[in-house]
Amino acid sequence: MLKHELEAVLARHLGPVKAPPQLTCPSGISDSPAPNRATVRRLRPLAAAMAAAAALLLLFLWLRPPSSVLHSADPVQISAWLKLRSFDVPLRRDPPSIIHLTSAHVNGTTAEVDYQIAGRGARLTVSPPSAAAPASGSYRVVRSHLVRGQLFTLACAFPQDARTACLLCHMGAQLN
Amino acid sequence: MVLHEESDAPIIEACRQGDPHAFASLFEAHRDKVYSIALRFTGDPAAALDIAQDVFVKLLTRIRDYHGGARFETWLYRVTVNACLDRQKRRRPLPFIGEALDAILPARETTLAGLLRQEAQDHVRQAVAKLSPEHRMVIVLRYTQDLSYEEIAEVMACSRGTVASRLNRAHKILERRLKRFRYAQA
Repeated sequence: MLKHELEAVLARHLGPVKAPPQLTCPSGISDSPAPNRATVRRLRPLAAAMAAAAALLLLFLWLRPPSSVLHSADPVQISAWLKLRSFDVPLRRDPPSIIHLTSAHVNGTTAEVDYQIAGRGARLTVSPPSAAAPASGSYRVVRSHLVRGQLFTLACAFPQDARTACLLCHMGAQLN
Repeated sequence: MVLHEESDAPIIEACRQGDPHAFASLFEAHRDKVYSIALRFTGDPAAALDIAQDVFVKLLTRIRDYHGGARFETWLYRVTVNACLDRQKRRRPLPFIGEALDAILPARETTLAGLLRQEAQDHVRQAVAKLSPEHRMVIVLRYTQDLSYEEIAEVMACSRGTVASRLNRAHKILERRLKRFRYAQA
C-alpha cells in the first residue's frame, strides 16, 4: 500500500464526528441551535399524539360527573372536600361528642352538611346570599346568617336542638 | 486546519471574566472537535463522552489560567490529549473497537458494497486501536483534526522530529496491518 493510499484510507475512516447531545455544557447554559427541520418533522407525529391525548384527558375530566356526596364523620375531611368545591365551611375540628357528622353534599351553588345531634337530624346549608332560604324537607330552619359572602342556614328536625346545632361551627361561648 | 483565534478572542476573554453565555458559545464551537479526538483515540463512545465532559469541566474551571501564550485551540487540544492519555494510563486495555463501533454506527449495511465498506472501516479502526497511545494520538490528531506536524508537536509538547518519527512508525505499522486486508479485498 502506497503512503498516499494509506493516508487517504485513514482520513476517510478517522474523520471528525458530531458530538452526541448527551455532551452538555458544564456552565449550565445551552447555546445549542434550534432543532433542524428533519428533527422537527420526525417529532411532529409524536407532538400531535401527545396533544390529542391531552385533549382527550381534558374532555374526560370535563365530562366526568363530579363526586357530589361525601360520607364522612371527620370535620377536617369534610371541610377540605368542600373547600375543593369552592365552599368555605369552617367546621370545628373537635365538635362536642353530642354532634356526629354523617355526610356532605354539593349541588350546583349549594352545599349541605348533614349531621346528628344526639341521634336527631340536622343540616347546615351553605348557599349564595341571593338564594332563597333552602328547602330542608322535614327540617325546620332555625338560624340563618351571612358570613364572608355565603349564606349559612341551619335546620333541625327538632326545635330544641337549635342552640346545640350551632356548635357544629361555633364554640359554646359564641352562642350568647 | 483553520484556527479562529481572532474571532474566539473576545469570547475567551468573556469566559475568563466568568460569563456563562460566552462559555456556552465556546462549548458549542469546540464540542465536536474534542469529542472526535476522544472517540477516535478510545474507540468507545461512552469513554469519549466521559473524556469530553471532563475536558469541558476542566476548561470551565481553568479558563482563567489561559493567558494566550499558546493558541486557544492548541491549548484545548493539549487538555484533551492529556485527558485521553491519563485515561489510558488509569484503565486496562481499551475494549475492542469493533464492539464499540456497533453503538455509534447508524445501521449495518446490507448491500455487498455496504458490507465491504463496513468491513474496511472496522479493519482500519481496529488497526489504529492496537497502536501504542503515543502513536495512536499522532494519527488521530493528524487525520481527525488535520493538524500539521508543527501543530501536533505543540499539542503533544514534543519536537517536530518526534512527531514525524511517530507518524512514520505508525504509518508503517498500519500499512503492514492493512496490507493483508487489502489483498483480501483484491
